[in-house]
Amino acid sequence: MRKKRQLLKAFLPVLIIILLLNVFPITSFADDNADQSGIIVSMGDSYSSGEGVEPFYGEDEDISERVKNADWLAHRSEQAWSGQLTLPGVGVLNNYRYGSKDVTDPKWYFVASSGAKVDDLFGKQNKPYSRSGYYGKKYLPAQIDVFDILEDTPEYITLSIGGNDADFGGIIKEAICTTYFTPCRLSDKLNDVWNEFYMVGGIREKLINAYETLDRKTDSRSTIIVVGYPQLLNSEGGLLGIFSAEEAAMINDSVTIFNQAIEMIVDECRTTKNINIVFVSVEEAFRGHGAYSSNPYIREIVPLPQSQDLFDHPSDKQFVSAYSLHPNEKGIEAYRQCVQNKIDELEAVRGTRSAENTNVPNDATEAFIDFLRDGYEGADDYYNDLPIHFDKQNNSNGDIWMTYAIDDFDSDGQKELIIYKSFFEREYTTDVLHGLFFYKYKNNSVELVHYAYFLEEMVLNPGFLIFYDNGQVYMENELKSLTVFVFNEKIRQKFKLNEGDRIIYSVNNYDDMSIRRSVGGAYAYDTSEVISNESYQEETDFLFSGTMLDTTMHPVNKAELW
Amino acid sequence: MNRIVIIFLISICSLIIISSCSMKGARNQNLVNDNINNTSDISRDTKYSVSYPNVERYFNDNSSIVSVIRVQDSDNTLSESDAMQLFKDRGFTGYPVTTEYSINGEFNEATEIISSSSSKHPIYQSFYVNSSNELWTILVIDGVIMASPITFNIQHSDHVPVVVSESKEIVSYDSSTNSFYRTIPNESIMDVRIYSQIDSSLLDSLTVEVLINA
Repeated sequence: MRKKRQLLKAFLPVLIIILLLNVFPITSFADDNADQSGIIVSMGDSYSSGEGVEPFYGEDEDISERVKNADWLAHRSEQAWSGQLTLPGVGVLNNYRYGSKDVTDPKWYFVASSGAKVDDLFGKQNKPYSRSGYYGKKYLPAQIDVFDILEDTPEYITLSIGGNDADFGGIIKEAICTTYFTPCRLSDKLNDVWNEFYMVGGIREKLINAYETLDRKTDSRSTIIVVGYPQLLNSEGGLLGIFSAEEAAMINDSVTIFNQAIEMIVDECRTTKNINIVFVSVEEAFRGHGAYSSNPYIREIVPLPQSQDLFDHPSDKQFVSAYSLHPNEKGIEAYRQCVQNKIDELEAVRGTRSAENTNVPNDATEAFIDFLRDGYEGADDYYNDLPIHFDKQNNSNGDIWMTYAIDDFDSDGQKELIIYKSFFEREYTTDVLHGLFFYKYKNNSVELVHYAYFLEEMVLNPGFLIFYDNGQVYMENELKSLTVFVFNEKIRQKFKLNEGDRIIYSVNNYDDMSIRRSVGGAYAYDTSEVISNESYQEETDFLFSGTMLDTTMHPVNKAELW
Repeated sequence: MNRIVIIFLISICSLIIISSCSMKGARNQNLVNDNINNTSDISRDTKYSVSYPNVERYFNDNSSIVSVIRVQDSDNTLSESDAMQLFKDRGFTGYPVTTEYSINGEFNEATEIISSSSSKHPIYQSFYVNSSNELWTILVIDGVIMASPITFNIQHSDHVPVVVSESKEIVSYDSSTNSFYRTIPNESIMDVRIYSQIDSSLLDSLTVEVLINA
């Protein structure tokens, strides 16, 4: 009997899901997806290409081939933030890069290039190189040529451009060489840049033309996401031999003003020219994390050429590595999160409008719940009397959310702990195993968005709700870390978590896929650095303190909850 | 073991559902995003400009000022031709000699100077990579040559920058007043190493080890 019960337990959800698929056939989504290509084009300069974060595409090739490889010459990083974006129904983009050997249905067209100026979006970019005895120059194709090879309209075009037109590199060069010799040189250089910005045919006009041209290359289904730049330097102390604090502040201020100017242009293009374009600022995400800060998101100045620089010796044109003052791995993650948040936000808006257009019947969720209950109860009479909870709620975007909670699989009749209160204010109780599923109903279809299990240890060590990352299955002996939702403010404060931090619950011991009761530790990672390692034993109710949005199966975006 | 099966199966099924049922709303045909904040620090019609430092205060704080002289009043300012010859005589021929300032103090993009020109500029600059692959910048201001090891200074950015000079006096150019400052820098702002003649041979000899141990 016990065996039968376990078997049924195992297959019950499968049965339910299979039944679900029959009632909500896949074909019903075909029309809804017809105008959604899932394609992203990533254009722009080094802040999009991932300059400074190895490996770069093509770097494994022999140098004789490498210098002919546009990906390597452009320093397109395999770690670039743009490739780590996710789109609903697509997943992580760098699995779908155009040009990769195994990709037959490309979704990500990565043409950003280190050193690119606005003109290089529309004309060939000259890339000189001199490495290991190979020297010369190669012209990279105009980035806009990518639209000639697209098989469908892109959903998003991400773009960081203008920094090289504003000569960030030259500004840095002015600052690090000759402060004492020419105290006004940096001011002169910055003012020269700003004159260039406003002049007829200057940077400002180039940016407007660029956005307009991109708009003409697409249609209204594409959103252009213009990404700004971070403040580069630690503004608190300067760096004795290179920058004064005043110079650092001057450079940072100019970056901020430059971002504001770009944002204003974007705003103007959207409101007066009807271009589907938005701006994403990264400044806040980088605040306090400039180069030479205690926790930098930006590389410091690297004085000598690095292993993948296009030059293997310093020169007057490039006397520091191109890696200098570009986002490091943490910076890449900060960029990714800022842009991903914007995409999620846009997707949510689109979802709302979609839902409004489809006239979801009022009784749709009721019908679904009835069906699910029937399927569940029909699986085995033995379980008919076990508690199962359904609930629904419309969030602020108009999506209908439903939860389906399995309670007390191994009920011994004792309600030992309150696990959490959901946003429906319902208390779920259990003593051993508890499953919770979040479904979204839209366009006459049901989508399972999140699911979670509360294992015994989760109950005894509350504070976490574990989601198996992207549905990935962790087999025995592979259970090393899991992505964790942190639900309440108290925990956030306890571990000093900030927006964008990646939270990993490390499992020290595991046995037969169960996390041992003894495990109560939590590791709060700031990307890779452990910033907190504390035992957490308090029994605190979980609370959804925010409204669940139209999230995809990506690691937690805490802003959606808090 | 039952947990493995449950989690595995549900995970697989979830993937199936998600991959097959993934959906997004119909396209927003004309997206208007209300979340973009307009900034008030800069407007379309207001041109941003950077203020200039108070140079006199800067040198008062960081040096002993020996003299201040307007560029037009100096007899030492070199013509492009003279500057080219100076760099050549010192063995600095591998990189272009450039200038960014006119004799009136106007700033322009760095321009390569030519040996046939008699135009004068307050400051000239070139570069030199020594035999240890260390990059130096060579400056000629008001006819005085000085050199700074860029690579070394960046690598040792926790120390005051090293400058090589033929005199304890350093010459600086202030474009805001179009003047030359002759100063003796405080040790806290600059580590001046004095040599009788700055040329390529000298810079070749100034390896990292020498600079550290000097």
